[in-house]
Amino acid sequence: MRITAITLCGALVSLLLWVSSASAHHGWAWAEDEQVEMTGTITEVFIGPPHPRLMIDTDEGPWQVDLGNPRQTREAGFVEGEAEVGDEVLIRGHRSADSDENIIKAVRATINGKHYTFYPGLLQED
Amino acid sequence: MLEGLLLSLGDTTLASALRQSSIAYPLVSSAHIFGIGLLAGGIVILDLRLLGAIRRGSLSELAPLMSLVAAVGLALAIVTGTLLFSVQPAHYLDNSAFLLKQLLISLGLLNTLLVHRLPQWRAVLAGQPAAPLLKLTAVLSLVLWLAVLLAGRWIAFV
Repeated sequence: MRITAITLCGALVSLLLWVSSASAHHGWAWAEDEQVEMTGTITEVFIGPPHPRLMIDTDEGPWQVDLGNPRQTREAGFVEGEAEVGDEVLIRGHRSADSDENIIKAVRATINGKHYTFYPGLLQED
Repeated sequence: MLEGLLLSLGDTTLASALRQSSIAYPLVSSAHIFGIGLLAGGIVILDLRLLGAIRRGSLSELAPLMSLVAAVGLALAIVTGTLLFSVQPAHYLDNSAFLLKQLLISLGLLNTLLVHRLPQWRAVLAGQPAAPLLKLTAVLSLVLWLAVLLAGRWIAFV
């Protein structure tokens, strides 16, 4: 009986962690299906683990841009020195399905006319 | 001053290497999880044994062994956690889940320090059964360290 209770508690905690990880910034489940474009001015560049990102200022206020994982970001050609604070950036990607959360997951970023495609297979060209 | 010191961790050669290497971060991250595993494993077994939910093994043998396992896990988790933190200190200092986690760790450690000073703990080491006060600290310990785990996982989701 006691062992059953313990096992059940363990299973519940695992389920909770699994459900929350399904809505994590890794993966796409948390984002809208629709691919949109957004422009902004870069206020912060972070290239490194666990997750490279940009912070940008847009007409709708500050947004966080999640790039690919460190390897995908590097393979997209986006390395240190490619972008500076103050640069204009065009993001093509998927916004968080939660409208209170200003996070967009980038499929591609365009800075100074140069494309950095983090997820080539997911790019929907107009 | 503390904040300045913590922020300066990001300027170290080690932090820079962690940011640039493609294998260092996942390795350190794995070691961090291993440390947490040892810590939680030792704590859960000892607390459940103190509470009587586990009846196998003598407390006088389990208590020092599980304490040691947890302490080794904690030491590993602190060293690797500091390294992970150094990758982007400003980001973590601005993360409410991270700050809550530090508070919970402090409370967990306070509870541990308290327990090791209790005469009831020495009684357990000497072969006596766990006193009610010790069972209360065991519940507190389970709640606090599981909360540390949750707050830690939540760092990526705030």
